[in-house]
Amino acid sequence: MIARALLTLSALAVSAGPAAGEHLLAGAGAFRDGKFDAALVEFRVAEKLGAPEAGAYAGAALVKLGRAEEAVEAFASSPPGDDELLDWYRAVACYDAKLYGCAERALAGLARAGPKVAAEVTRLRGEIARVLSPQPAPASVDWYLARCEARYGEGRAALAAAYCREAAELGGRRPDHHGVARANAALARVVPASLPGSKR
Amino acid sequence: MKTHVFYAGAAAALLLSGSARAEDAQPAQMTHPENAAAHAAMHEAMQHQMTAPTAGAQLPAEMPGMPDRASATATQAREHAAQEQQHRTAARELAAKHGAQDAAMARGGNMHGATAGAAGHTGSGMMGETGTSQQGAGMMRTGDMHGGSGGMMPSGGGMMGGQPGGAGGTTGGSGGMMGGTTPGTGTPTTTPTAPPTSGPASGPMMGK
Repeated sequence: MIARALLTLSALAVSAGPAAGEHLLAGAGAFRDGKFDAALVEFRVAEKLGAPEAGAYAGAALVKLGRAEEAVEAFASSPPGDDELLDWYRAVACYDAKLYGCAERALAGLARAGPKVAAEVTRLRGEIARVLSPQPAPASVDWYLARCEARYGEGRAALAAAYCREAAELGGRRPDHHGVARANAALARVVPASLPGSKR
Repeated sequence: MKTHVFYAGAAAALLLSGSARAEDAQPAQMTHPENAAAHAAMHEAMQHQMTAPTAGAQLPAEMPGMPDRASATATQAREHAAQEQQHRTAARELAAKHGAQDAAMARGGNMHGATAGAAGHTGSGMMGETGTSQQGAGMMRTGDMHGGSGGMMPSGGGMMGGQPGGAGGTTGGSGGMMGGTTPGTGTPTTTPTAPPTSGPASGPMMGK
């Protein structure tokens, strides 16, 4: 009897449990039907119940809802490379948040994706290449820096870090390295705050 | 009994450690069979929705910072153009008003002299009590064509032209009369080339 109890306990410790799974399934169904707001609610509940993948699924729903910045934050909790489709939605989240470097990195990892994904990847990478080909203007670097500081001020450290990285990358492509030092200084402050478990 | 509990505990511990290792090795979504089914369903759903329209997303990429400045410049340009248009319209209206006034003044000043100067714009002086400005202008034009000043000039001129003619005739007549009397006096200065005059006819009579 004790053994059975221990076994049950160990099973619960291993996974998020059936309740989270039910919400994940419900969320997937709603997502398929295009009911992204309902899907988002289900994924959020599943996330609360301990389903680790629910955060990324919520990110995909947020992408479809046009809430790109929240989607970037949602994807920040899961590393890229586990799932090509999720990485596609991650790239779209970055793209829609004007984080083109972030989007390009995510898309570069989808080089061996299936034909449907590959076509979309090619299209989006073409758009990004067009935008990133000229030398970035100081005003653009400043825009990312301002976003970084604003989002950090709102307590959204993961999103702030994404904007600061973008500013550092863009500034680094200029001969005068406009804004790079400022972006790196901000990153040093923002990144520790963006790590899981840290609180500002 | 104690031994059984010990074995059960050991088995549970082994299970826990084994499952922890399995969790490290596998993707997080494969930790529960139901989650695996959910993952498969979500995978299919994401693929299904992949190219479906997204709310306000995936617009053509544009570098931020620059579009804001461009739109600000465009807004300034639009405002400036609107101001310029207003100025041009006001200037045109003012010019039209002044032009009409000047034209009315010019007409009134040429044709009617000092009396048309002030009243000419509205036509009140010309129109009397019932005149509006438009009617006044009409009447002024009518007056220009048929009124005293313009109309009078040709007829007056004709009359004036007649007067000098008449005077000339009179002068000529008197001159003839004068010429007729002169030879009658027997003045030897009369030239023989003056037959038209009545002098020679009367002259011999008078000379006899």
